[in-house]
Amino acid sequence: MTRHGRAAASALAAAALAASACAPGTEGGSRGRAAPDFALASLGGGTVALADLRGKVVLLHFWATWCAPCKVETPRLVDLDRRYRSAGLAILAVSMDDAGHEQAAAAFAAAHGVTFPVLRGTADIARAYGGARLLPTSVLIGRDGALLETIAGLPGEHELEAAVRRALARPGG
Amino acid sequence: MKPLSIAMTSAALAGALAGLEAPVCAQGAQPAASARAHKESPLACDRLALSPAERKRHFEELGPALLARKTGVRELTDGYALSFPPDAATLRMVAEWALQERACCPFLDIAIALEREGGPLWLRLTGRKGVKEFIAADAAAWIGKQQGPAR
Repeated sequence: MTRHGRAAASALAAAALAASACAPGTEGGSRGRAAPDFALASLGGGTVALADLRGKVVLLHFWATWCAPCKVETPRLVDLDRRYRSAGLAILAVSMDDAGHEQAAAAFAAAHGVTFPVLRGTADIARAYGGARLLPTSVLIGRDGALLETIAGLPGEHELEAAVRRALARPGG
Repeated sequence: MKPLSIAMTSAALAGALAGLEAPVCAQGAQPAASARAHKESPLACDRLALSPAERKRHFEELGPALLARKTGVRELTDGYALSFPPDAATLRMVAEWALQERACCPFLDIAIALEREGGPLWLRLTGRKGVKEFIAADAAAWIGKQQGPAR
């Protein structure tokens, strides 16, 4: 796919996600389209790019330190990381905290024993993934880089794990 | 007799913020229950409901100030009730906090009550299944101290 082709696909994916992002447990209408690429600074140093994770199932998790449902979900993510990382799951937490709160985000992650990268969110990535208006929002991306599911809001205790298992078991990526 | 229960609409809360002159009392009322009977927001925070300045006010100013003024907490079956001194300044702060909180977390039931005979000001936070869990996760400092009269 050309650069313009990828950009168009990403724009379509973002538009479809935007239309579906406000419903809890939503499976986005953009399913199967290419996930918008990104490269974000990690609070732990360095940069993480989606393209570098091709071959893994990526769980992109938008959150903030002030978001109470996020505090409930964080230990579940740590547990998912522990249990499914070796199976090919890569969790990326995208902090949507306001500028200047990076230390608070890092402290939150440390306090909760977060074992996956915590990235500094930007308006661009929020826009690309439908706005991420609701926190938490989790986006599952297949091994082939295709958008699989978007879950806006705190899912049921086992809902996210079920989605991860489906993604990991998905034939052909 | 039950304590006077006050259910505030947004407009009434805004009036309360402006100077406690609005007719905010509706004894025993539930805020627009029929209108919202079938609407159920996800358990999520609306990232765009508050500006960064409002968020700073909510979490870094009002929250700590109210925590310092809290006089008690009661665990309810579906949430928690916090008590405060019933003075006008505290009521304004509670009302301002409540307006911001409901904008960010529309799934919360928020009730403000003034007990009769000069009793405490109560802020009651409740909701459907799962809401109490997230209140507990978010507000451990607020609910860690169990005290206050049974209601």
